[in-house]
Amino acid sequence: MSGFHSGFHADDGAYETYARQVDPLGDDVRQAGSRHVAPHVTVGFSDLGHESGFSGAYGARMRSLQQRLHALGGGWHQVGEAARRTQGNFAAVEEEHGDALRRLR
Amino acid sequence: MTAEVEQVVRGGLDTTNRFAAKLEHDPGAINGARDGHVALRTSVGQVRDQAGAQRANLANSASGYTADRAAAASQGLEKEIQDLLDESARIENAVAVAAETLHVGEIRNDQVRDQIVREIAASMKALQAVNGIQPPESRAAAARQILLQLQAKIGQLTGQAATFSEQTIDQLTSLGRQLGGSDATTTSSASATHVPQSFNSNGAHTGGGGDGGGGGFVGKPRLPVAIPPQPGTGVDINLPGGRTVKAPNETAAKAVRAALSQLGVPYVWGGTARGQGLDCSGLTMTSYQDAGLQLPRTARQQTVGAEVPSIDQLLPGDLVVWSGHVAMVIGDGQMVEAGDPVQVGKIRTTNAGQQFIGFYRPTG
Repeated sequence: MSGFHSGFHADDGAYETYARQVDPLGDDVRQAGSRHVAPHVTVGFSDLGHESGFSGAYGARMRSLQQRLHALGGGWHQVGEAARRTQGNFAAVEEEHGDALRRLR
Repeated sequence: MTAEVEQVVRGGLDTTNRFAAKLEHDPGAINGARDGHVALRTSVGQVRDQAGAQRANLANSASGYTADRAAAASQGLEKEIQDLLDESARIENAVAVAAETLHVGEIRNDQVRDQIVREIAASMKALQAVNGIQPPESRAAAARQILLQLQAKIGQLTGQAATFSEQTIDQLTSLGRQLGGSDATTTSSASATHVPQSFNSNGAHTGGGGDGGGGGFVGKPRLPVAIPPQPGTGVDINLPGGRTVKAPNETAAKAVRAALSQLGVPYVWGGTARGQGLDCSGLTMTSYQDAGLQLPRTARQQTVGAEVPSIDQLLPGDLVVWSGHVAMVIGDGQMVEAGDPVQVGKIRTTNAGQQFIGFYRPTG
């Protein structure tokens, strides 16, 4: 698809390759949240920790971190999907151009 | 030992023992949480590095508007990763300071307790020596004097322990406030970075184009609209004024009953201790918890479930959420909230200059 139009360039399969590279990132982020954040959302900071509100604030902040990691993982999945659709769109346009050239001959 | 001496000795350590119990924490779990943050930053930091390298690879093999859009999406998510790494470091730091605070509190309390034990031992020795005093009639007065001095000393040391305990709780409160006060602005099921459905959607040929998905928000989440219940459905709740209203389901009904059971409980910032002290989101969170539904901790995060589009569609159990406050609708135009104390009032949308975010049905 090189030279698709002026000011634009993409090697063959560039977005497909990118999609494959990005695919694992979403799962990596979510797994990191499950392994390293989820088990520590509740921690024994003593009765004073509870009464002072520290334990509650810590737990809320950790849950928020966990949710953000989950959302971020979803963001990377979307990037992979978008790259794959991008590749598909290019392929469809190229096919149409090929058809048009063949009709002109 | 006389009963009086026994009482002084037994009671002398009560306060410090009580503080010791309140300071008892789980260093293993705290260290585990800190290690978890270190491991998280290592793992997620690697993801960020990989993402940057892959973005650079794409830039080498593609250019133009489409490549720019892909790079922008990646950079947005890489920035989010960095924000999360910073967030993890802040939480870990707070945990470290809290652990140190508790540790220091324990040491100081132990020191006071040891001092009390030494004072008691010295007094016991002095009391034994009293038996040798002549004439024997003066022994009782001497023993009483020793006991009074011991009581005074224990009182003084116990006061010190109380001061230390107060300092510990003040430090933890301040730390909790910092953690709660600088809470993340976005908590949603979607990332804050907008990722289009495809990067070449403007030149899209087939149905794959369009930028519909993946948007984020700041402040107010996009949620489905709550569906009004069918006529004749619902669960009865008896309100304090004697009226009976219908909650949309058993969970909401239980939450309302649980919240109403806390009427009169004093307001305590950061409080989640039912029957003792609650803050606004502590009341709603623990009430739904009692009903079997876990809500996030802070008011701003309790924008969950479904959004109730207007005040006239509110049902018992719905939450009224402001930027820094939350209340629970109980029906009959009223809501329950943790003011000081927990109380029932008319439903409103204003709250001391705070931004009204919306009405939410956690069970929606």
